[in-house]
Amino acid sequence: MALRIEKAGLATSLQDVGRSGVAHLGVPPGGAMDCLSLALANWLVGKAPGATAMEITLTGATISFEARMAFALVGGRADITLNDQPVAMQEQHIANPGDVLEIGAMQAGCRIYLATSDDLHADEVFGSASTYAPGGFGGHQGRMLADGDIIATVGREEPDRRTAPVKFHPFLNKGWVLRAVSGPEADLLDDASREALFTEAFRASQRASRQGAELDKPVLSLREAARMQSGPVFPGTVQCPPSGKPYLLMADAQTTGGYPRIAQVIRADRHLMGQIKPGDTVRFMAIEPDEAAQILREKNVLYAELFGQDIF
Amino acid sequence: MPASCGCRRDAALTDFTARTIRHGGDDWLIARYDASDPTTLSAALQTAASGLRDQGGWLDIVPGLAELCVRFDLMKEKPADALARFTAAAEKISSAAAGEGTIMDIPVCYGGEYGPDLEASAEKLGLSPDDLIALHGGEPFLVQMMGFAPGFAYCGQTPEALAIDRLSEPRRQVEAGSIGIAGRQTCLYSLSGPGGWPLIGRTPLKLFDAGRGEPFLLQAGQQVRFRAIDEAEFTRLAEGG
Repeated sequence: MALRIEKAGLATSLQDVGRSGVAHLGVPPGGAMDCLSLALANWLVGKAPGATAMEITLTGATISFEARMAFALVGGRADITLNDQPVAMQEQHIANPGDVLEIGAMQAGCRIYLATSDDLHADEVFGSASTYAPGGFGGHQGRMLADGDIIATVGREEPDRRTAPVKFHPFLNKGWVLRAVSGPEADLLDDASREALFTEAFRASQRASRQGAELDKPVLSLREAARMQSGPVFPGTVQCPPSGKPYLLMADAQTTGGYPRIAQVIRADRHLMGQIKPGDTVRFMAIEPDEAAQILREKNVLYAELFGQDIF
Repeated sequence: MPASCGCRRDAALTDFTARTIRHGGDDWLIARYDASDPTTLSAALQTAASGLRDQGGWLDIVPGLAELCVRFDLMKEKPADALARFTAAAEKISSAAAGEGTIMDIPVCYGGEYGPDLEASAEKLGLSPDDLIALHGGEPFLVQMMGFAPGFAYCGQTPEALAIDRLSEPRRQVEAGSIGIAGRQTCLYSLSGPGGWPLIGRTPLKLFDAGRGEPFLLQAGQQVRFRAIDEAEFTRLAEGG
């Protein structure tokens, strides 16, 4: 039993919630870029929030089913059809052998998660099945999926029919607000740029991947051509390279970087980063670590009502 | 504490006091130190990192070149508590007696297609290629930090005579095993991919292999010494695994 990748699109890969505790070895956490959409897609097919699912990016993908199973799609907004019939997102559906699922280009948001009731076969490395393509490990043969790939599935009992209350659906936007804490080298920005960082709306450029997203305007300026040695960075770290175009690090970002770390998107808001589409705007809202902790607790409590566990 | 590069450190402990300890983000903390003696500081950072590992309760412990970062679980620990716990461990750190551990031999084929920037780098540094190789392969270096990519190692510190800038345009493709130099460091590329360090040679050793029992050849805190080999030995070692 299997899924067949008819058209892989820009960047389709198998992802779960990623790895922890391996940053000192140069291994980034990886995992789904939007853990909320992953969790909801999995919930709709009766799976644990962090189960392995397929992450589909921007241009969409076409997938055919070689076995009967339930599936659900959550994330960016796109036109989706099953055998040319429209299929709603955020709902559970049943596919039969031979059915073809076409996921169109995203109109809003950047990534869609396809969860299936059958388990997707993926290589587990460092405690996670997430594909880390730059390192060539995890997921399906350590790489992004290609046309013609066959993903083996293991049949599971079909889940109960379930629908998620609208309040748990992810919220899409073209203008994102990410709450952030000031970074260790924020003082290397000049005064005007320090102000701009937390007041201006930045545009997400075309330079976007699982490693990071460049914000190309307005441009910030550093006090001096600050040469710094490489130091640890994490997903959500905002770096400011000499170009002055802030670079927002994401799930597959390298674990060390040599540019000033000017801000850090808070843990509770990092799932939003995965839905930033080139051309969207991003604002950073300055908060303190204590507030970030409170927001995280409240957000986890809210969603635990559905998921029964913390997902952020 | 002035110290010249490459000098033997005596067995006495050297203390470093953090210049700042603060939040790097909502869920990670950073302690920064003065790097007047980077090699001894690196040893102290590794010692502190293993102490934190033994202590437990941290999601990630990542030593940098002149800093130490930890990530904590914001759902389980208040920022102030994590900061206090980290401060107690990171405020004052000591290097353990260094130079006693085994030194890993890293065979390197210098120059040619293996080290395409050897000649240009030597010229820039006012050295002959052979002098550059001798300086690079002389003293052992400490693996100061793993980062950039799985198994990528930053080692140092290299002699002042080898301090060179990174390439103005990063290469699109650097072969796995490539050895670069920049500033007072030398690096080992664990994976093929883009990279900005001038490349002087390549080792046939496999630095990272996800499918190997121990995926990482090197670990931060250990010592390495580079040894020049010829192309024939490179091929023989590469084929031998």
